[in-house]
Amino acid sequence: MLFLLRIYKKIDFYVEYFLQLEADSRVLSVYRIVFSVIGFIFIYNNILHIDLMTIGLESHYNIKIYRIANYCWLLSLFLINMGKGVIWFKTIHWLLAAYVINKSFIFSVENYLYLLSAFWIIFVNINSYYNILGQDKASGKVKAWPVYFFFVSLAGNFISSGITKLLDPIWLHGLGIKYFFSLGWPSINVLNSIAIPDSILTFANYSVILFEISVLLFFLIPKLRKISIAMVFIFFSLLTFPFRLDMIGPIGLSMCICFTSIIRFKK
Amino acid sequence: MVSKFEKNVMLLLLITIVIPAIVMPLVVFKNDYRYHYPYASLPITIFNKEINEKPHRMNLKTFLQEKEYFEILKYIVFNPVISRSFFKYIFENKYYKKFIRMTVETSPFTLFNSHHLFGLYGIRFSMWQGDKLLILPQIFREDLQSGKLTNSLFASRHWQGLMYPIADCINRYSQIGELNNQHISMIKNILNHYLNRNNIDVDKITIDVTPIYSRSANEKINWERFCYAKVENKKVNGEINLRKLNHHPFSLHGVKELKDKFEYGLTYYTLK
Repeated sequence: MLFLLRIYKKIDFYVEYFLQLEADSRVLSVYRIVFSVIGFIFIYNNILHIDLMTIGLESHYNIKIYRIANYCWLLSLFLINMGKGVIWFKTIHWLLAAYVINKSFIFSVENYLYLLSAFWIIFVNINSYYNILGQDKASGKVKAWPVYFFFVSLAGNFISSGITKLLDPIWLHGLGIKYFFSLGWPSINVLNSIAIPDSILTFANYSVILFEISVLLFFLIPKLRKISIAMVFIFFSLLTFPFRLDMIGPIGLSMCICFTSIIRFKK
Repeated sequence: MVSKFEKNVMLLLLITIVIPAIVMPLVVFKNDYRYHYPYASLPITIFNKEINEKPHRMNLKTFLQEKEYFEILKYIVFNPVISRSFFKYIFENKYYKKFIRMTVETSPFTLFNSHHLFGLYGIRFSMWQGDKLLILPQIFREDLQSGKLTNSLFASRHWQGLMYPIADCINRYSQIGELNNQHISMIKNILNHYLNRNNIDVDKITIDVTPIYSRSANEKINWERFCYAKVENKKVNGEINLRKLNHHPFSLHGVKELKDKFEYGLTYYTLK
């Protein structure tokens, strides 16, 4: 019994410590603005393709609700952008995003990344700076634990992606990146006209697997945390350019701004 | 100062979202490989009761025996009691399922695994007035680069995302020779959306497709007509004519390259 109590106290100590960790609120405020700008483009694209997105919603009534939800979603994002993002607005924004995205005919990774961001910003204080309404007093530090959870949720997907690649014949044989380049459409046109040696492609193949599996492990080790965040940043930068996985890259990059708020650089 | 409420919220989120986001993709293999099933990726359906799991479990077993990667994974995969308990009591709970769909992905991420590389088709819509082509295809160009609809930094992936449902229809139709009403109506809706976006009067609209992996080893890109439909008042209302394709993603160079190394079945997930 005493032993269990001691373990409980130890866990409690670490939980308290974790809850007291702080993030840079200025960086998080920048994240709010970047996320909402990319979010506007994302929702605009959705509204533009509303006919396509509502395939499968049979009744006219459902389609109408879907359409209204899109506009409400846009409005809630606008309020978040203005710095009016109190927890209720952020929750409504997340619920609307979840409704629209889950009802949409096409679900892709960018939708998921958006949903993940929309969920975790509920718990992050992103209103400290650049707040037009000037409601929240600027404070240098805010709670960091939601940012940690945000990163870990994303890193979980990287791990599963790495493991499925390890079980995939083409990636196992070092051919994954080679075939990825062969597709043509995920990368810029110039890249398609350059002949890249097989050895480099094989190296890149195994590097991708290694990166995906090690992101979370690196993040859990405090000394390697910066490397882990840098790896994710490089990954999403590459998806933005030279690769052409549009909207996955930009949304991912906006997430990286959020993650950098927990890095403490020495002055 | 840490409030008790904040502490409870944090722990709740940790247990319900963060831990499942890491653990679940490692223990649950979801059947999400309709387009190429079961060739491409080996994370195989174990928990899906709709298909016969035995051969797939055996496939995975053989595979893992060859490559001794994950001892723990092996234990979980081959121990039905553990895996099924997870599935039955946590993963199958409808409220939890709903909640998790709104937050994190708990099934394995399979971006650019074999199913992306071999199982899909490039798509081109063409609009015709008599025999005259009025609108050039824009999702993919002739050489399978991104077309106008998808080629900008902040473009949506909605158009390229059409590869998945259309590939599903092609593969089903090529194997079984029929599509159900739901699929037909889906194709109709896609065509109508394309017509709506272009907003011009045409007689006919067609979808041409090619296996998406064609560039390596200077393989010729073969665009084949998958379907055509008559257009009236800028809408497809009548019958849609479908064709079985001669070219199939599995016949391509990449798969041939791997055929000597792996012996997997090439049958598709059957239509219900």
